[in-house]
Amino acid sequence: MVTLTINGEQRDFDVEVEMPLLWVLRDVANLTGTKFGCGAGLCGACSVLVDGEITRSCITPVEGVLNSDIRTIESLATADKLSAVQQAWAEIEVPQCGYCQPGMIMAVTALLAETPKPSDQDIDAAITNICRCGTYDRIRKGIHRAAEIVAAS
Amino acid sequence: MGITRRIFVVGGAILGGTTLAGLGIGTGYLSTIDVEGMTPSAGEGGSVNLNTWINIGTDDVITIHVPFLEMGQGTHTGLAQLVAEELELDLAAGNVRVMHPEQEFSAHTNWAMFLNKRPQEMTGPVSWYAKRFMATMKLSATGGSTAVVGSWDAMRQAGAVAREMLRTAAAEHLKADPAGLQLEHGVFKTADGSQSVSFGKIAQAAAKLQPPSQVALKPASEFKVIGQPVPRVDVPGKIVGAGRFGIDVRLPDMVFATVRQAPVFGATIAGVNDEAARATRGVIDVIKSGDAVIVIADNTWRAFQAADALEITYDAPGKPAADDYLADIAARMAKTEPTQTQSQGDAAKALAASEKTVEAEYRTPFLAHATLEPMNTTVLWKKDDTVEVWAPTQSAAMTRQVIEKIGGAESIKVHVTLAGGGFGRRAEKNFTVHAAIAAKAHRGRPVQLTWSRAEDMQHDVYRPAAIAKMKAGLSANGQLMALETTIGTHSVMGSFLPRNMDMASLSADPSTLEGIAHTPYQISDRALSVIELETPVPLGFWRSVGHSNNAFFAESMVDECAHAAGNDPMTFRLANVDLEKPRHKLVLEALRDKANWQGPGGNGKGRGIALHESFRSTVGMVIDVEVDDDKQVALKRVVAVIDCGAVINPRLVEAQVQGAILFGLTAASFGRIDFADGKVEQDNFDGYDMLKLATAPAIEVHLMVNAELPGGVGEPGTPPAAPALVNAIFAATGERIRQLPVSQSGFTV
Repeated sequence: MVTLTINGEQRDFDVEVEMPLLWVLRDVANLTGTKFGCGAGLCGACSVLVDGEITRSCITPVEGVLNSDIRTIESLATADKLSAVQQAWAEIEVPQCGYCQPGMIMAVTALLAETPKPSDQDIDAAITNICRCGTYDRIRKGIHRAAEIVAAS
Repeated sequence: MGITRRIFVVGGAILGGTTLAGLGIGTGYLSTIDVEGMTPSAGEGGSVNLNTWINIGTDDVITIHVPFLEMGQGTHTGLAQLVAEELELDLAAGNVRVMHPEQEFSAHTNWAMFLNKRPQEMTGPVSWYAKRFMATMKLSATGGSTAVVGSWDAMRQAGAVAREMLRTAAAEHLKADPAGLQLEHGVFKTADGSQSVSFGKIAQAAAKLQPPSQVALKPASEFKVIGQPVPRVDVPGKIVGAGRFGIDVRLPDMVFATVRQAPVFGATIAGVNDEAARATRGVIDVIKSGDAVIVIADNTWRAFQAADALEITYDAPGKPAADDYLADIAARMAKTEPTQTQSQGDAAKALAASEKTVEAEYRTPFLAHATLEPMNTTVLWKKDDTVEVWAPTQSAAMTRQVIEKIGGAESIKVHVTLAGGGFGRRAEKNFTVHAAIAAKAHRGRPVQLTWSRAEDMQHDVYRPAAIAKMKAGLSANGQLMALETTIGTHSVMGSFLPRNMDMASLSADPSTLEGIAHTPYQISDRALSVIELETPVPLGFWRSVGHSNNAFFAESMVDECAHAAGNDPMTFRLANVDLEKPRHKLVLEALRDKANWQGPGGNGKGRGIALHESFRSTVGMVIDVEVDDDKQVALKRVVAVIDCGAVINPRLVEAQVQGAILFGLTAASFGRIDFADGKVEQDNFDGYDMLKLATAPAIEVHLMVNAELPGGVGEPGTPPAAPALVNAIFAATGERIRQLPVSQSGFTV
């Protein structure tokens, strides 16, 4: 039995300690917003925040996050308010198929927490997630817009 | 995507025999074809289907059925705009829901795919019979960039017909003059505003009326919704993690499965030792099925772990794919007769008379689709043998046929989910088969079967490799005179039909010619031969299909000719573009202006052009690259111009063109499937790389404005990407790349 703190809530799971966080989230906790893309930490679709750090959950065994604050895409918006990144994503209309976007949004959330006004070079270095639809132009615009929204709030 | 060009040929053979009978039928019958699918029916929960596309609930919610898979292209928004225009709806108002229908529709929802014609061109008795024949089949499918082409009139008519039926019912209800009623947001109001009635209250009465056989559609000058950048209906869910893809289906008591298929195509299993797999925690069952082993567990990870623990031995395969498959194609090309030929004029004679000839051979690899959402399907085979399937499928009909073939189902319902990318990969049965087998073995429990990334990449249906040998002739003043092309490749339809349709293989696949039988240029003497070679590699529809190879060949050769003629690549194209198709020239001129073309550059900074027509649209693009001495290529910027006729939603078109270009540039930069001992070597994104934020260029998209019928936009951006890239690298470095991806020539993007 392992205990995880997901989106502020402590929950017990009857899983192996080596089970990757991704699969506990998706198949056991039924939090399907976090996506499976590659299983090898290459595409970033599974990105979540662990104690504020961007983390590829498909290669993160749960034993490493037992005492951590785990945040998934489901935690960003409140009932009536999107996060700044989500607001920018809606405004710029970033997604196409949308499968990579939860991971993108989490990665951008972590980037902006660290670097509130990122340059294009900062963005290139920080966001290495794959978008197969090719929404990169709008992701970049979305990041700059989210930075503006954060700055204005 | 071309599924049905072939189905039509089969249908056409039957139709041919009935054509004479058709000629005897009067035109009175023919006039009804414009209102196909307009018969009302009862919907669920007291709702009313006013026609195929529009459902009105008692709660006043208007549901627009879009019978196409939303795989990122925005089809649920764009096509809903067609209905909204005529039904005076605002998609963002909260009373409109857009969804893939839960029931299967017949071919009438997309004649453009199933008969490979614009609906507007389908006149006369042969078309009438073709439609009657196809309308008897449940044939919904998404592909070939046809949704808008096929729906442009039909879904506007659906909106207009529903509006007039509702208007008549509203007038009756309000005891008012129908012509004086104002319509807004699903509510009719009398002219003085004193009385009103909502759709939900009159839908039942409206459904009892005869659908009008003639309704005038709004002229473009009155469009309020069409042509506008209406917000995508799928974005709100997708940004909060609530978009439900196939892989996100969660049902009570569900189990999770995966599959291991024979690594060499066509190999059969000699033996399975599943002792360790069965001992893995949470494993429920291990099932051997044909060339595959299915593992069912209580979560996907445990199923993956157990699959890794399987010890499977295979019989020696009969026909592994050649490791050096391009050498294999080249060798067999030399001794195989063409399966298709086309000619115009006398190419050999014109080449002999040419002032200068240019000869080149181009090569392209097998490619995987690599959708970000791996292949998956969820099946619930209930104990009473009613079956429900949840699948991100480009064809609900094909998914249903998987269950039918397994046998024993009393009824089948296919729920089409969102898809995490499609690109042609999901027009296929192989990602549903094993889920269905597992579910039938465990009746009463939903089974979600997910492929690992390695399984997805190694058991794709691949874009065929190809070799083109080309020879072009130039006149003394540098005009294109002659073009001789011989292509050695494999037939997608020849692979697809036996695998998916239980139909015989075909010797002549139109997709091997597409994009090269006709080019945007005036070349009076042409000869084209295609040699379709057998291969054990399963082939599928990869975004833009044959165009993805053929545009690379054609637009590389045109660029080589411009260079040989000592001419600027833009000027050369403008001088040779076929003036009988004036839209091509307009695209080129717009591209020249928007890209501020001043020549191809040089000294490490190059600009490359490509122009290509596909799927009833034309895309021209200029890409700027910088190449350093170590052959490191930076993709700086792309300017693209698309002529896709009438535009429903400019923001969707822009996104599709950007995405299609990046899809093509990713493939041209890195994409290559290799085989070792007949097995696909690539198993994840480290061996099959993708452009990312740091490497993807900014892409500026310009839309031609005209009043032509709409063309497709999902695919046409892909074909010109590869040739534009190699042309730009040539401009920058003087090195002509004739084999894709460019990494094969030592260039690193």
